Amino acid sequence: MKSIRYILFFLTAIVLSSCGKDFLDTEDLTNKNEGNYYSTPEEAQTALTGCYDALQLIYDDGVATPVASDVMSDMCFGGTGAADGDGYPMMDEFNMNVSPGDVNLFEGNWKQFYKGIFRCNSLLINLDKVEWGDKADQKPIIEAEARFLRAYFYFDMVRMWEKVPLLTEPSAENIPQSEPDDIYSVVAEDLLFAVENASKSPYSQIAASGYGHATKWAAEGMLARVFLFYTGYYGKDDLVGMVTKEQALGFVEDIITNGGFDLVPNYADLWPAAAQYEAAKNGKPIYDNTYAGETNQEVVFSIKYTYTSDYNGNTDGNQWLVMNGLRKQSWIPNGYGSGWGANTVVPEVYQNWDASDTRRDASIMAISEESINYEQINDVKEYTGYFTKKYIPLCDTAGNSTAVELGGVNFMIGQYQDYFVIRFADVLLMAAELGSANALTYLNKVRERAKAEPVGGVTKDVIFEERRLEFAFEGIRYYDLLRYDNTLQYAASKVSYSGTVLTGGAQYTKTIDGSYLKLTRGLCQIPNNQITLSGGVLVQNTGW
Amino acid sequence: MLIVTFDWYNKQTKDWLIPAPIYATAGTDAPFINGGDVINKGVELALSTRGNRGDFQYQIGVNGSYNKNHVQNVPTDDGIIHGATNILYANSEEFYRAESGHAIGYFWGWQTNGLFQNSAEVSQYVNADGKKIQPNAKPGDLKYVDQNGDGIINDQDKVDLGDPNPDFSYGINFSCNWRGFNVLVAGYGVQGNEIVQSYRDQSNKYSNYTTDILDRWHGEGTSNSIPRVTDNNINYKFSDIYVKDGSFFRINNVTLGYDFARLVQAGFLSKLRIYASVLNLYTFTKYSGMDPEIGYGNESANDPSDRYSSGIDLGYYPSPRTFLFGLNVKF
Repeated sequence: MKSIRYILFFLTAIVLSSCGKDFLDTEDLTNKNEGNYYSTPEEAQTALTGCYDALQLIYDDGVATPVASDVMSDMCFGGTGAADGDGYPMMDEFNMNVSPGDVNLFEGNWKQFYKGIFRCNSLLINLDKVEWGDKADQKPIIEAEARFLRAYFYFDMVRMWEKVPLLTEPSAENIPQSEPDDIYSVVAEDLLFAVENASKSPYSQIAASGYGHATKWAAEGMLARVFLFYTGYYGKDDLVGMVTKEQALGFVEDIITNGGFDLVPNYADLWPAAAQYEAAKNGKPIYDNTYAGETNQEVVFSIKYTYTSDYNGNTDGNQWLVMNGLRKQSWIPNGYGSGWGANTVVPEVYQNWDASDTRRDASIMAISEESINYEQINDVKEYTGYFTKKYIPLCDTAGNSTAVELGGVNFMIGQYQDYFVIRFADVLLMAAELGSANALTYLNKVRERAKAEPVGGVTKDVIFEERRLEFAFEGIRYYDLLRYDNTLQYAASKVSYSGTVLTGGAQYTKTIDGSYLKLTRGLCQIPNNQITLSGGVLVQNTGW
Repeated sequence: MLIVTFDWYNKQTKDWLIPAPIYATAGTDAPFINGGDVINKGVELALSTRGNRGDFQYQIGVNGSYNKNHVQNVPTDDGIIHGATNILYANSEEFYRAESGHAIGYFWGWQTNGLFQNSAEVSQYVNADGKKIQPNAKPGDLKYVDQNGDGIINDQDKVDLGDPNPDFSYGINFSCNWRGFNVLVAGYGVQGNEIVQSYRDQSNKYSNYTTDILDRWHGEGTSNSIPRVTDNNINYKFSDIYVKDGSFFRINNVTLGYDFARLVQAGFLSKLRIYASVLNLYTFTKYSGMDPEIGYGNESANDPSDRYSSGIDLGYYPSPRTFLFGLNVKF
């Protein structure tokens, strides 16, 4: 009897002693979570897809950066509906008093950027957990693409708000803002890694499944763009001691020599609406156009969009393009779909643009010049008679939204046109600006394609003017303005404006005072809700 | 006979389940946490009596309760559960919240001190260092109180502007019978609660105003409470001009009846009562809105953490006044 008691005692002791902490931890067999994920190369690849998904997310809430930067540039006004709030004019005029209630205009952007950064950071810190096996060669490529995307997010943020919280691994802490140099160091380091490790396939060898992935060429182009912005805006000679001007030039020359990209021969073919307009002008049906498509030889990097967005949390489309375009009306003869009328074009931009330059008609929708019978003028804010044409909704010959015809939920969330982030024309002009020996050739190659007269010499002003015309309404011009000189004198004088527009059909004197751009240093408002939430750890930018 | 009921209570609702407010930098959706305690302390007193003098029978009941509500131990960094935005109009800011030490769902905004009557008042409105507090204001704009004296009107100047929960709620009822007649009167009321009233979409310059706007500022001395009309919402960021006293007393039911069975004297009829009632007869209140009795909180909030709000009047259909006539017959 006594011996049985001893045996029981020992058995109990053994059982108890084996109850370590691990004994209670179980692996979730049915759900993927951070504990059991990132174990196979396939899972790492899926996580990378999640990062690219965030690239579609970043411009779907708040005011998309491509839309906002065109509003803030010297080529557009805010526009939108006559009865809408004045948030867009507020951005346009850099003046809080225009719409003091709009204190969270960019909160959507802010949140979505950090979602993307979280996804990239989560993948990057877990890459070593993956059992790569015979697929070890995929690891640097996945890492390069995730770091490229992280750099993309931070570069957008640091240009919009300058000082933002900098996270290189996931954290739920209340993180203060970092100095711009620290952010640019991460951006430069990430992009340099991507240049070394991302896919080096030239354009002609990119598989259909590879379109939209960040390549070595995309990273090189981004680095040159970051270099030019940082050195211009801050008046520095190199990019935080990590990239010199010679290196930046080397990157873009490498794209030109080895990337296999080229210009699309006809400028209008880059933009679906412009291609339709050209077809109609030539007496052909609008569907019989020469649009070059979204994977053409000029696209160095683009954000891929499709029409499958829904209201159940799936964001796959170009949700910002609908802001542009004819407000509340389609124009069937040219296939322009109905949009919200943001980014009304400054009339002088059209009027002073040489009519023989094919980029004018491909970039601007001119209401009276194109004989558009537009009946909603009284519903538009800051109407000028000109809308943009590059990123606008389309309609078919029956007037139906092409997005809906393809299967989209509606014209608002169904838009699908890719956003061309870096075109080969940009690479050529950046090379010219960075002092390439072929600068004049590159510049005139861009002009020749646009049927514009060649120029005789390359100066900074000639290049900036060329960039203004070539990249009108592509979200690039505003940051060119800011980087022209670090006193912002150039930007302030360019955005200053006084002239008459129509709001709600009534004449209104639109005034933009460039001194507000200098006061805010061209930066955007940090969302007030996030400042409140941080308990004052985040600090608002001057002037907002 | 007098019946007295007295209750004293100290009710603590602990560990509310709320989605943690999360910094955008975390990059994820918010997890649920146990957040905060709600303390209700108060007394309830009910008195009732009944009696008769010959044919006259009566019953009187009076009840009242005094309640103090506050939140404590909110486990977030700032001790605040932030309210929703976009409630009063498109892009409107947060204006109610739950914070340790304050009543649940208290209203948070700027305190005002009348209107600027002329531009001299704008330039004379300075803090201790002589800094102009609202340099861009125009005559007819609201004058906000610079609570911390830093010469800037911002979130740091927002204070507790009111509590949607009544301090005191009470009811009375009285009924009596005399021969064939009977009368019933019942009413109830609340005291010491505030209501946020917002009937206009301030984000849209074309939306309609209420007739209150006829008394707006339109020149020096014309008003010191209703700001000038602008085509933006510069004077309608959340401040105490939205906050109104929500106290009221409502006579909810008055019924008068007479039993004709006594007159008819028909043996097969034991009751033939004809009566008339008015429901919601009259409301005594200073509240300018349609109906001070609003149960509204932000029920539609996707975020369950926002469902603690109350006292927000966005223009709901008011309680109707109902006239009833009836006949009771018993065989």
